[in-house]
Amino acid sequence: CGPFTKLEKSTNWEELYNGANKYYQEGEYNKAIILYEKVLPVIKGSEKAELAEYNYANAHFKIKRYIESAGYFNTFFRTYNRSPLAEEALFMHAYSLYLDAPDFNLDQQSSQEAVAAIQQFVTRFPESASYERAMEMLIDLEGRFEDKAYSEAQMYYRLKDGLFPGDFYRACIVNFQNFTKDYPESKRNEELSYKLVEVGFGYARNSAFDKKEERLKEAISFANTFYRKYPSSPYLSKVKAFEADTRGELESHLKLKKEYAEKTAEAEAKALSEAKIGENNN
Amino acid sequence: QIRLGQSRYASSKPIDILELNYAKPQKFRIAEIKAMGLTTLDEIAIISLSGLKVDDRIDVPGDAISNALKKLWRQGIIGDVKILVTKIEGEDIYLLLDLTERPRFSQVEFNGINKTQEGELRDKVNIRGRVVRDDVLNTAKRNIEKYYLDKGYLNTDVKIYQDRDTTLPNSVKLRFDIDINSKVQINEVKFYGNEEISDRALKGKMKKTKEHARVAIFRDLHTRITDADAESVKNSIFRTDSASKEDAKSYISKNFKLNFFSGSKYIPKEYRNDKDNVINFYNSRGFRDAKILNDSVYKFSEDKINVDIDVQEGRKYFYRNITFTGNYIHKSDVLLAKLGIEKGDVYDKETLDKRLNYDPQKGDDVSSLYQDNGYLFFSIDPVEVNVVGDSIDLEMRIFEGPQVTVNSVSIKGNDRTSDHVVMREIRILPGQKFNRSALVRTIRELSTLGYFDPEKINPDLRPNFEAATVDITFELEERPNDQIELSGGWGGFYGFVGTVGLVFNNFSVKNIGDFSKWDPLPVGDGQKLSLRVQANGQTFQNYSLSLTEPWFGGKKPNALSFSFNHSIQRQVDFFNQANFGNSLGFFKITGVTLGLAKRVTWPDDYFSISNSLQFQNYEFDQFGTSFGLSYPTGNSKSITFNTTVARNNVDNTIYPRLGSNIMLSMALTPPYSSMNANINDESTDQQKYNWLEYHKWMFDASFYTPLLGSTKWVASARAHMGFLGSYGNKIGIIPLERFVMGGDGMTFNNFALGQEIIGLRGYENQVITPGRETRGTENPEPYGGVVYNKFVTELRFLVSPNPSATIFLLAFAEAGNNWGSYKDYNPYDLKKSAGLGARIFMPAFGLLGVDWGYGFDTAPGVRERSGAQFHFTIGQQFR
Repeated sequence: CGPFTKLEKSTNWEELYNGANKYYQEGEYNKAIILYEKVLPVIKGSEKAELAEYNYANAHFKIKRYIESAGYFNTFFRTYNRSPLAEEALFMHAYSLYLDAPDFNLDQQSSQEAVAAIQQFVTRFPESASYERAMEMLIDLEGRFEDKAYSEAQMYYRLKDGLFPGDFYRACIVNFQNFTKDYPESKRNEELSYKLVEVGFGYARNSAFDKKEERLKEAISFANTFYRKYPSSPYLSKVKAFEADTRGELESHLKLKKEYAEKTAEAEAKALSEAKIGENNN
Repeated sequence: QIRLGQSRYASSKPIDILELNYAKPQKFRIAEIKAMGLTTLDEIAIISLSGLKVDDRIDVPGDAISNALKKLWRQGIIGDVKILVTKIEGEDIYLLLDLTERPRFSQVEFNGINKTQEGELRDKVNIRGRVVRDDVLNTAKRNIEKYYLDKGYLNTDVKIYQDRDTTLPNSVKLRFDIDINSKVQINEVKFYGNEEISDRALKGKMKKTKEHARVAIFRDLHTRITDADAESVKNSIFRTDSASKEDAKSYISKNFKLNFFSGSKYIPKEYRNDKDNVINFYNSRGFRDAKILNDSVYKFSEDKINVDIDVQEGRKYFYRNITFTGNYIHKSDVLLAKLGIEKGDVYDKETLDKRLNYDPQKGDDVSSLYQDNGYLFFSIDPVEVNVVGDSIDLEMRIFEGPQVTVNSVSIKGNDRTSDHVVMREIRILPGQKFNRSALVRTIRELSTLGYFDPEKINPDLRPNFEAATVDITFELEERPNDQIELSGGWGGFYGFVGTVGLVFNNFSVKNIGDFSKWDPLPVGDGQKLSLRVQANGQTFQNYSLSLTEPWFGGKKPNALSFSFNHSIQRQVDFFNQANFGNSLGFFKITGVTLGLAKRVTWPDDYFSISNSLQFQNYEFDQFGTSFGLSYPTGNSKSITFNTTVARNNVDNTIYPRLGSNIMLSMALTPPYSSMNANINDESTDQQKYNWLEYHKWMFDASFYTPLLGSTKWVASARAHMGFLGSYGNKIGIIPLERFVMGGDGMTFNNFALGQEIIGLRGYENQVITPGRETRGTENPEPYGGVVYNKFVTELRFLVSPNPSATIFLLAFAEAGNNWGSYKDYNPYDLKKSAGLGARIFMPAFGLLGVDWGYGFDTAPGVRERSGAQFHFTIGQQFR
């Protein structure tokens, strides 16, 4: 069998330790990890342990096992927080989590962990040379949260043309408003505010008779908010068109409502007078 | 010297205790740190591990010192530690770490167990590198014993041996000698004190604590005969008093234990659960006060134990008056009707709880009245206000709360599947009033996606009482969902047929270019990719590939699919030695299909419409005559437009009990003959059939209805018919794409390429097919029918509803026929058959079936009646 297999079976910890370092230096990280695993519990508490533990974490990083490297760098930092390697370890912990963080369209829990780790790093080592890099990572991750929320908004917007339009028009209204609340600085607010006018109108137009007036007025209020916030928007003409449609719809609705009210009043009056006549006749 | 912190062991050194002001900690600068008592460990390393450093400013007393102690302890490599103050000079403090080293475990070995268990135990007993201490060893031993206890081994023996490790200073090799002994089984579970409910019923409620399997009747008879004297033998054989039904039952329950599948293990945790199950069962029968007075587990033999349980049943209670308080939205009589419990009913806490809070079977309970309409905070608390004799008065105290609106909906745990693939299936939306049914429906929709573990789908509700809103997060856990099909089977005439299939249910076309998303293929967009190869050497091969996007356009669940299919059938000469294995001709079909399937909401939402466009190329070499074409070698092409309208509302795909499935489909080709003036009666077959021209209509309907309100007996009726026609008389009806009837109806067994296969049990495969008699002769008629009818009635009985192996039996009567021309078509002239069959469904294999059928009529060209036939089927047969 090869020298590695032989070494792997060795019980001489010094041999194992030197072997691990050798493989690490040569870039054979998988082998180095196997040997470090054997030797670490034994050398704990000796002067050799510190560097070995750092190398062990870094070997995982090199072979792109970021979840593991994040964990080991973190353990290293907590164990040797006064070591000259501590700053580097904490950065690598955050960086591992950052590299492991998935695309915006998957679960963002690990991105949130990465954000927490980066924040821990920049508070602990504000003078660090890696500070700028860490802040860039932070901005990138926060952008992903916004992308996620935006793609969710777009999904509701698409599904309003699907099988259950009413439900999704209403979902759009709530969701777009939540987006603005959660990301007030986002550039996408202009587009979503315009779409809010559109869905507000769409929702109102298809509403039941007794809900219509309130919802049309709400749509008009969305348009007014839009004018106030984005007076020179490229969407302006479209918003104005929606507003005009909404006002038209409101006018005809109010007319209908008035006619209906008159008719009911008339019918009631008639019924009342007939009843009176009946009474008088009796 | 000032001693700080605490030591786990009393110190033997004399210490001068100086007064430290705990109320007012003082700031010091660390001037020096030293360590003493080290033999193998390194001083610098230990100080580094403590987290303290020269020049640090620390509070004494304060966190810095206690944290340092904690950090050192946590490493598990030292026997004891104290931090001493050796000197204080103004602001400067001098610290000394007083350590006691202990030997450490350098190696751990397990003896007497297999590799798998060793691997699992190594994770549980992870003490390599830690100091040798009794508590560490005891914990390890306990963990090993518990590990085996959970597997049903009660008598595990763990012996610990320690040895000096000579390769390393101050360290110890550890060896566990484990003797797991035999598994302990339960000989008998005995109940005492139960009068109202039988032993059998109670034992049945114990889900995991079961008696061991045995069929001891022969042994019992043997002991009776050998042990008994002549008198008692005579008595038992010529017993005059007849055995009561109860005697028989108890005899059977003692000597037959047919729980071969559930196994008999004694696991203390499960036993505790099972005792609760017994009490819950009593409670559900009105015995509100039932309890277990006493129970004991004792040794019966070397590897068997007995369990005795002493119960006190108490009396049986009934409901008297039920009143409601705190309800403003719904009236008490509405609530009482919903509750479905009446005065005089048996007091059953379990059912009461279900009817109040959540009834999984019906889904409509008292809470649903409120919680399906936004009242998320609704709660109802049944209080026993009065107990008189065996009657109980209940007061239902209700809190209605505000009507809650959904604010946001999100998902968590989708590590592979994109958000939109999951979110578009969610039925509870922002802006909606909270609705429990919609929530339950969503859980169902998410589990049918198949990407997530259905057991672990969990809606996390975060309500805000003030704002009357709720945020909902669906917690999910991904699971692999790809299928691999590897199968081999006998395909009738063709012999062994092997199949290799791969189905990827969560494919992503978009991510093909991004290798980081490959796992093992690009995943995440919910598309379905399937690949399949079916072959038996030279004679038959089929290759297919299909790709489906279930939400084409992203707005509606419109499934767009593309598929490619290539099949070859060869006639190989197996009989002539001279050209053994040479091809005597072949038939190939290559097709491409593009389809769009839509779910519609009108006339109701069980309807779906699908359209597809298909191109097919038929190529034959010395094969044409077997279809009745006048030319043996040539080629035909077709373009068809297919439309299918279907309505499906069966309640279960595997064992439908209720509902119907109706399908009407139509396939049309362009009318080439009227477009091409060169085609006339004089044209050769090759000219006429260069582009195939036909229209084909298929109708299938299945109805299911439960019998006598039972969930096991189901009657089903089916009707199937198909019509193939031409647009004019110029070329007649094509000889391809015709109907072939008889037998099991499986494509797999028939390999009838370019034809539509219809099964008819009780007859041989393909036997009811016009043109069969002239096939292969000089002047063949077209092979296959242009009209077919088939009617089936079935009576089904569900033997096992277990989802991992659903089994049902069936009795059928069916009739069908297949006609070569519309002139001959006579729907009253049908070939009849009847028989019995069985089906088993297992998720890994699909549906497997066997039928025995008796054909009452003679197939065309056959002299005697068809008689008894066996059929084996794989997969669902639609026609």
